[in-house]
Amino acid sequence: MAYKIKAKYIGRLAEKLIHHGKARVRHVFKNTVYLDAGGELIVITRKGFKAPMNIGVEEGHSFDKLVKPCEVMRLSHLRIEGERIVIHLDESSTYDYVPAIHEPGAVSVGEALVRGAFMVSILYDDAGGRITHSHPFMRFLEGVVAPLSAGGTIDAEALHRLLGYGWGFTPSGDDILTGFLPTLWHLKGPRITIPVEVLEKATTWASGRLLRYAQEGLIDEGLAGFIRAIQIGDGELALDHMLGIVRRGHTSGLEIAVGALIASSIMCERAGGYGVLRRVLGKLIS
Amino acid sequence: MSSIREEVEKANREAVERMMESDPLWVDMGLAKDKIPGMRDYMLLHAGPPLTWERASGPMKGAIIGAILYEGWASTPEEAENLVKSGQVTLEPNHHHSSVGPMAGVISPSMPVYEVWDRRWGNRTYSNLNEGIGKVLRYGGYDEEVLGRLRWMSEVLYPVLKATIKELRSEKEGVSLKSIIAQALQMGDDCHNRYNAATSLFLREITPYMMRTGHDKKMIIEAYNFMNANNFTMLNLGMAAAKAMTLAAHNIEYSTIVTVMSRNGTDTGIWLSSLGDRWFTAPAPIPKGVWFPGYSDEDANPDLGDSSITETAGFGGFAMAAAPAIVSWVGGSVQLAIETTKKMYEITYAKHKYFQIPYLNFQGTPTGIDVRKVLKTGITPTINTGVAHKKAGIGQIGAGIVSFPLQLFKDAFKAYAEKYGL
Repeated sequence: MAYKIKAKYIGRLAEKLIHHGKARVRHVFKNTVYLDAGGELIVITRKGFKAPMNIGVEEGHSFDKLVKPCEVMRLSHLRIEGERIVIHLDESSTYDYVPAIHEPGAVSVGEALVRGAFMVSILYDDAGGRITHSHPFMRFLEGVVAPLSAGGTIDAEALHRLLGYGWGFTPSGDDILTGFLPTLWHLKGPRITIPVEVLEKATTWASGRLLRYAQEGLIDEGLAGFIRAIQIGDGELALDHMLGIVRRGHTSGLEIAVGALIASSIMCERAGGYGVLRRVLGKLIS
Repeated sequence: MSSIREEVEKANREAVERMMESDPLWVDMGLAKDKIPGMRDYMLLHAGPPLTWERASGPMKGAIIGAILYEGWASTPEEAENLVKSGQVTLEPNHHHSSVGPMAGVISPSMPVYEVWDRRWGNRTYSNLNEGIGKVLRYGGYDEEVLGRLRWMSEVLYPVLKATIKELRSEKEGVSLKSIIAQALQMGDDCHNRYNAATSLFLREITPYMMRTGHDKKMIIEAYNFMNANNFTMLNLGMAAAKAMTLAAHNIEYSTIVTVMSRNGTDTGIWLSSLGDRWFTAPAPIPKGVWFPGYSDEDANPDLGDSSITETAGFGGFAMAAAPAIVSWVGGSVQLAIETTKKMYEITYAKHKYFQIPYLNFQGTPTGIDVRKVLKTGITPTINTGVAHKKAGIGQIGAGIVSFPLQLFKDAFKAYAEKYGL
């Protein structure tokens, strides 16, 4: 008999992807399942934050005992059915937040960004090394961050070198870009996108999808909240959201925060918050 | 020059080492006005962060009224209430006076208190005497039964204990509370909501000296029977011991270790070692509990008490795996007790050198809550607690488990970054 659980919400993208009718299980973890629906990603998860590609479900048995990799699941607007699990969707809400594009609301958020960078730097456990000490990160600062802050042209190669670099299910370099690209764009900076074919080659399937969605503005509620707080000039609120983001994964959340802080600092600097970017980078690199 | 992370690491190592090496002894008894630093006439100490009468919960108001009646400052609850409202009676947190009290934690100037001395670091801490469970002052009770018991404690229990500790100190420095806690954790106590073994060990240690005090035999028997019938006799001493341990870890520059966690029935609050006596507060949550007959969660007051100082020092809810029988009192399953302890390892700096858990292959208890780990994992400290009725005058209605709100730790860390990160 199949194990039954209820979904609490469905993200806007996941809802759209259900039309595929079926999806293959790509990865299974204790609290998360990654589905491939016609080449696109649906994430079934018990983790707290809402995101457009997620289906958030209630607490229950570990997924790795209920779902097998490569298993095909049937999708409908009422339920998702696997061999040993049924996820009921009929009582779930829809997560449908689209962040607005607006510049930083106040230069004063710069102080909060510096504090945020300090927080991130001491939340790292240095046992496994840190991407902010790596060569690709330094190249990213030289080839992408420096030109952006000066209004120049970025070096795409420096941007792409971060792809797939580092540790974890979503590599650290991808996580930085997942925070950086949408934050920059939504704070009225340049919209930088990485071509799909580059993503396909340079990183893992799931991470590449997540990064592609991020650069298209399909971001989770934590990052959206951070960006919104910067837009309205509320540095304290931005830090609250950042402290929600940092909890994700082993270091994924920290690296998404690194990207978001750098992008925000660039835009804050461009709005007249002189010295913010240098101070933020100083904390992150130290 | 060392980096900030090296400074933090060094500071946390020092803070937790000092906490674990603290060696609190019960050394004396006295009246609060004579013992507690800064205690004044017409002042009441209470549990948790600072509080005004207007914001106080039912059980806290009940305990305040009861303490004023006990002191004889007023003869009716209404008069008592007016004294606080008019500012003639002032309220201050126990923690501002190196003191702790369970639940409402109200201590008035004439109440007898234990004095605990940290043999290793020299600090002195204080707590009141435990009244037992049910309708008692600390749960907001203030009728004649409650006040009569308090008077008896002052007139009979206090002089017996005062003479007992004097007699004991003619032979040794005091009663080692660390030793009792360490033993009790291996005998099925968590030393927050279960003190059965610890109370027995305490009585075993002090009874010979009690017999030698020369007090009237009837008084001694009454005092002994009262303490023996109350499994929470050791709670207040355990809390004063925990306060001494955490005080030893307090005020260390750069440290991200939590040195106070407490609740006043309205707010819950914490201190961070490097940020001094600055409170970070959030609304107190309502515990998930096991209710006494006739009560439910609808009757429950938000959490209160300084007793979470035990978890701050590395025992209590953090040592639930040592106390499987506690689940019959606070709810949940034995597995939950084990899981709770295991989870707390994820947010603490060290495993305690002296407090061990037999079931976990004698691993040390999770010790030294690191605010960075709380924020990185999203796991907040879980404590065992008693539950008071939300109305004044009724008392205890159950016991349970509660987790501290994440917002406290966010706010503390933001303030830490303001001090060290700019």
